[in-house]
Amino acid sequence: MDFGFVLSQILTGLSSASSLFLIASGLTIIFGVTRIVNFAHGSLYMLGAYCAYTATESLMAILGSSLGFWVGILLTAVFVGLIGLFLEFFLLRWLYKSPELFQLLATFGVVLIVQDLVPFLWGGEDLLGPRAPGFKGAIEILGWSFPRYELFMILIGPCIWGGLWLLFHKTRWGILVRAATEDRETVATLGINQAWLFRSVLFLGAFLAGLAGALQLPKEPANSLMDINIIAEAFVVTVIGGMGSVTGAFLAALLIGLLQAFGILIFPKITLVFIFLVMAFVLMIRPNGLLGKYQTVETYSKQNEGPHDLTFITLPRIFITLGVCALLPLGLGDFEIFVLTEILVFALFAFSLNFLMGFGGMISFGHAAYFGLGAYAAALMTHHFQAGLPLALFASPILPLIAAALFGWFCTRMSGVYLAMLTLAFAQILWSIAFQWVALTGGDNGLIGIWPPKILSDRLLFYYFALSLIGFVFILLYKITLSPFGLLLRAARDSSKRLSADGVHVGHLRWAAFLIAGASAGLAGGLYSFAKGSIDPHILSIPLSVDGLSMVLMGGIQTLLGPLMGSAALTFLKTTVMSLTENWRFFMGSAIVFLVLVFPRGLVGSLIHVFALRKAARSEKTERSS
Amino acid sequence: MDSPLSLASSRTSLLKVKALCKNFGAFEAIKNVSFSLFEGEKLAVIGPNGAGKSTCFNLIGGQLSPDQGHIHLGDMDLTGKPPPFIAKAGIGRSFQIAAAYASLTVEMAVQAAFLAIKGQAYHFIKPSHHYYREDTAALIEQVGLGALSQRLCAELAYGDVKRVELAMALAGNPRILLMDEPTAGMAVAERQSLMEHVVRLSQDRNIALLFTEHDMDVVFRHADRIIVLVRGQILVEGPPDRIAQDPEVRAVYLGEDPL
Ligand SMILES: Nc1ncnc2c1ncn2[C@@H]1O[C@H](COP(=O)(O)OP(=O)(O)OP(=O)(O)O)[C@@H](O)[C@H]1O
Ligand SMILES: [Mg+2]
Repeated sequence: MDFGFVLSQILTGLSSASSLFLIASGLTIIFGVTRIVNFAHGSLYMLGAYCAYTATESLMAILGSSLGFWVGILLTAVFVGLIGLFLEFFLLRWLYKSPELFQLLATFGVVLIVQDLVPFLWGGEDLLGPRAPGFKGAIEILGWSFPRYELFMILIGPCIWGGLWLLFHKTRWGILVRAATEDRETVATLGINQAWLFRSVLFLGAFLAGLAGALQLPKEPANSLMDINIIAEAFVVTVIGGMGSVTGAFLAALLIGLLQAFGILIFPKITLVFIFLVMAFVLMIRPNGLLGKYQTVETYSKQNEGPHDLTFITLPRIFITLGVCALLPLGLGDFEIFVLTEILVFALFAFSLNFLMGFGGMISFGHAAYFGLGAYAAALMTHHFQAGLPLALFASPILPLIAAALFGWFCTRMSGVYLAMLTLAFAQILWSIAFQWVALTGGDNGLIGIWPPKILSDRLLFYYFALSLIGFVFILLYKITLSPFGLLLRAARDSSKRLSADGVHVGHLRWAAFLIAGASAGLAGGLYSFAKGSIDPHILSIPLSVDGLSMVLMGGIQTLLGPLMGSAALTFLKTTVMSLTENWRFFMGSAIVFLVLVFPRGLVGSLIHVFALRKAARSEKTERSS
Repeated sequence: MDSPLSLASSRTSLLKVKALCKNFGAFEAIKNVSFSLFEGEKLAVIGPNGAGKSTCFNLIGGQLSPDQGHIHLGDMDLTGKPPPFIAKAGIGRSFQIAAAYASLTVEMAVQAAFLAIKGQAYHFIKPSHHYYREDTAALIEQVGLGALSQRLCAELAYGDVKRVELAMALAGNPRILLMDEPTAGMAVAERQSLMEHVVRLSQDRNIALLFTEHDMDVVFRHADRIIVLVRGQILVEGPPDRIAQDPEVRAVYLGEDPL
């Protein structure tokens, strides 16, 4: 290979490493101090790019192109830093004591809100920013031309790293931040200063994200996909570097930047897979990342007092519920029956997620992976092999089962946020494969014409078919929850250390739960593809995973019936609100934030809570009277 | 140092710990620790905070794996084995910070312990409350929690959580019970009663007891033999009366450095 070419690839890699580092350092600093994984970090980055567009455009007119540009970039970063403060003040500070799942969901709600806010403020078009004055054009290196701006970017990374190092080692504030990152007890003893420490850290993190977005503008037009595209990579870099470690993030950014630059030559279509393999490899050797000190402690226990309806739910009551479901579609039109079918299908999806998360304590941010794989399995069987519905539906849990076996093997070694990020990354990989392997999956267009056979072509009949299958799987999941396996799974959630000392290999137990959840979600996906008749990569994407999480949350985590209620509520909202407004993401995001802050028990959870309170009050009364 | 084993050498040793070492980074938490535990014996490990007692127990229980040295239970090599293996080999344990299953009732928690130790985790259909009903009820009665069996572990007083842990550790009918500060965080009156419970149960079942404890009344009342651990090393070991007289030990507990 030509040496000049290799060098130019290295330089490209170093340049993207700088951007990655800027993003990831902010994420990791915020996490280190507040222990919150800020999903909205990608949104701050995107806002940085858009704000920089506006700022440079107006300032370059006033101050002249050179000064205007750089002042604009800096002001943008400060402004995004202030948005971070705003976020802390109105959202994050209410979440510091919440379970990780709620933190992740709430910040994802912000992602959705920003996704609708950006086109509202800047319009839907991609915005091409100005070139950086003084760094226009390219220079020639060993016969290969290389943009000057990229060289500038290469220098930015180490400069920021050096600046952060000085900040954290030479200032009182920085030393406090490091102490807080390394030892949680320190934070607690800070008292009143804690609030300001957290706020300033959010400012700094958001500032860095804004800076990264602003500096991206000369390279890439500001566009509405920047947030989701960057966040998966930023997660990977933060996890590889070790959560909370700035230097770790720097090393990981270099690693990933270079791997990307060369991976694109070797595996042009699956660089994400390649990166992911690197992450899996690093985590296997160093479970806390390259330089991470943060131990994955069991934070789930915070939530264990949550409501459960296990004693309330009995087999006869399940049959009554199914009977009600059977009566619902009578007299309704095709579209309404389709919506009901969708509710059932997503209820199964949410059941399987709740099994993993509510009962198993494993937060999955990529559960759509199994749903989507099941749907693709069924669709591919139909499309490429002309298999009938029975065979296609049979295949739909098998493929996710295999994937769950593989992913679960990695994932069950992790817990908490590492697990959440790993599952998210796995789902993103599958999404990119489905998106890019056009010959097999039809790419973005997906696959169409997946219809059930004639006898089930009637919507109502298909509804009953789905209901019986889903009812069967639900009863199975219910049985498993109450079985020794389910009991031990819940025990492992409460204290894996204790259960392991009692004689169970917790990793194996969780792996098995992964398989069960994956296969059930896959079956839901298979049914979905037949109900809808077509599929596309969207069903593997983060938004669908979040839909699942929202359903579980709405219905009430750790409840058996919650997912059904959650699915009904969310699907109903989506069908009604979506038809009324273009800005459904805004409403959806606000709804998630509202739920997390105000209504964390969910529908079924709250009901059970009320019942429990009334029962307690009644028994107190009888005690007093006797 | 004179041999402390004269009393016990005629009995068979159950657990043998040989030249155990454990470092955390550059910090040597356990340095060359060797001792034996004999059948039916009650052996206490004492030492100041940070001496390495919990680390030592975690090495034996498999929560940590040693950098050097060996751990044998009878003929079985337990060195570096994972906790489930060690539990099934016959070592039950409790933790310094009691860990019970917050969302389960006492009954379910003890049932879970039975299912776990008997290797019945992978039963999927029959409801779990059909398993080990009598055994569970009897064990809960034995640790003195009969009245609380339907309460959630999260609602229990700390002392009762410790009792749940004791029941869970006993479910497998272990040969050795490893208890890291069984009475810490309890009221003084309750401490002796819990310890008497522990001792009576382990004598009935011929279980050897290895425990750490900061309450010297508890230690000197119940231990047959005492090991004093200081900065990761064994300072002395011997019967309680000898330890009580030992000038080095007194110096450590009075905060003076004898060396
Ligand atoms: N995972 C770990 N990483 C680093 N250092 C550790 C770790 N666990 C324990 N230590 C250190 O090892 C030393 C021994 O700790 P250990 O918990 O074994 O002491 P201990 O004798 O049980 O004390 P206590 O009486 O307070 O329970 C302490 O200085 C502790 O800080
Ligand atoms: Mg200890």
